[in-house]
Amino acid sequence: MTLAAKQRLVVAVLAVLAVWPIAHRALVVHARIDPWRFFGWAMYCTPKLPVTVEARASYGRARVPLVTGSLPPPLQRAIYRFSHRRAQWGTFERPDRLAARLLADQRDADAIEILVRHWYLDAPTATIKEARYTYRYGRDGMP
Amino acid sequence: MRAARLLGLTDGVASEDAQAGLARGFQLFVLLHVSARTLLWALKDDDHLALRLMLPAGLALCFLVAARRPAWARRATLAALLLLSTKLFASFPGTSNHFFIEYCCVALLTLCDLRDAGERALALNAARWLMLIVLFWSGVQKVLYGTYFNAAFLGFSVAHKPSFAAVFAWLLPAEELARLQGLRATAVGSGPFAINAPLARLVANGAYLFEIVAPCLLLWRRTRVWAVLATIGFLVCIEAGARELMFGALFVNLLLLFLPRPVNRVLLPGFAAFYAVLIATRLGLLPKFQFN
Repeated sequence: MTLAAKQRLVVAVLAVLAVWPIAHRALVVHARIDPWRFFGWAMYCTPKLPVTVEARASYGRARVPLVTGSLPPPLQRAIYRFSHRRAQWGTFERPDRLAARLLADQRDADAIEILVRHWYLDAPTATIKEARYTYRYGRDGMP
Repeated sequence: MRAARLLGLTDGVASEDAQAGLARGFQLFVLLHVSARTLLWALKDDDHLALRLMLPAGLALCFLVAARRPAWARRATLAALLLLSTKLFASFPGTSNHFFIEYCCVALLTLCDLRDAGERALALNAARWLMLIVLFWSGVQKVLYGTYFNAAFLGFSVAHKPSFAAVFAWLLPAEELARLQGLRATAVGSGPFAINAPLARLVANGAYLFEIVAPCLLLWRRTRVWAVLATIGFLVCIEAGARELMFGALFVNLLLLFLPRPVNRVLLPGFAAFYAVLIATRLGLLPKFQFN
């Protein structure tokens, strides 16, 4: 590889690194990816706050909250894994597989509803706020 | 040609000998740094410890080879790059940004043959640009998130991290420090974490302004040396609260590349001693304290 080719390669990589934070910011705003990850240099801009996951089973018109601690251990681990991955990947990580497992566990339920809450530090008010995302999965498998 | 000219904006006034010294010092530092940091990472957990320790052992071997046999140094950095690639593969998407800087530095030192003057200059200039990009965007991101205008992020950190509280005890009235330390992000609506003390707000707003302006001062040759010293001072202040000591050491070494003399090579034993202290701390041989 010639020196000129190496220079071009290095400049191209640096150019990508120089503009990537703009895309990173957009992804944080719109998809809620982890601001501390993915090389956007937004560490120490906002605190790492939890992503919580709640599941409910629908039986006719009744909605019953599924307490994570009372679910079988593999499902508890699946919820923990989803919440961990969701905190990193934001809305790119959908709870489809988790919902399928919950539906399999709750055999009599018509549908499963998964509520995902992303906590964040709201800059203007300096208080903790949350963004809520609700996913509903019926027996037909359609969200 | 345009690429070379753009990269050359960070060219130092260093002589050929000084450039060679800077590059060699940087090469050894980066290999030492990744060895030490990977060892600290391996010691964090007990699971598969023997397997985890193989990675820093391999990296330390790369460092020793590069230190003892300069002619083999590039091969050693290639081996280090391959070893770090396994860590990247294993840790993604949880990979820290700090690791990414290390990875880029090792990749640069593998791409460029430091025995060749042109490639040496390319490696040094690219590493300098990498540092400028990171510093500049760190400041701009703080503006975009808006959490430094009212010092809300720092207030949150004071509330949750004793190291931040210790630093801000110097800048905050006792009542405000007590108020912030009494806050916890336990529920939606917790706060407000904004800091009202004018001195703390000045520091918060000064932080991102410095991070945006410093890269310009580092580019301009007339202000370069002073900008290096000021940025090192700035980093020391930040790390007093954040305790990202490994990141701080790497960043200081990237800054030292802007100096006309190979100060980084002179300071290398000092950084080795610093890492030895951190490793001894993690192993429990010295009093423990929280750092990353």
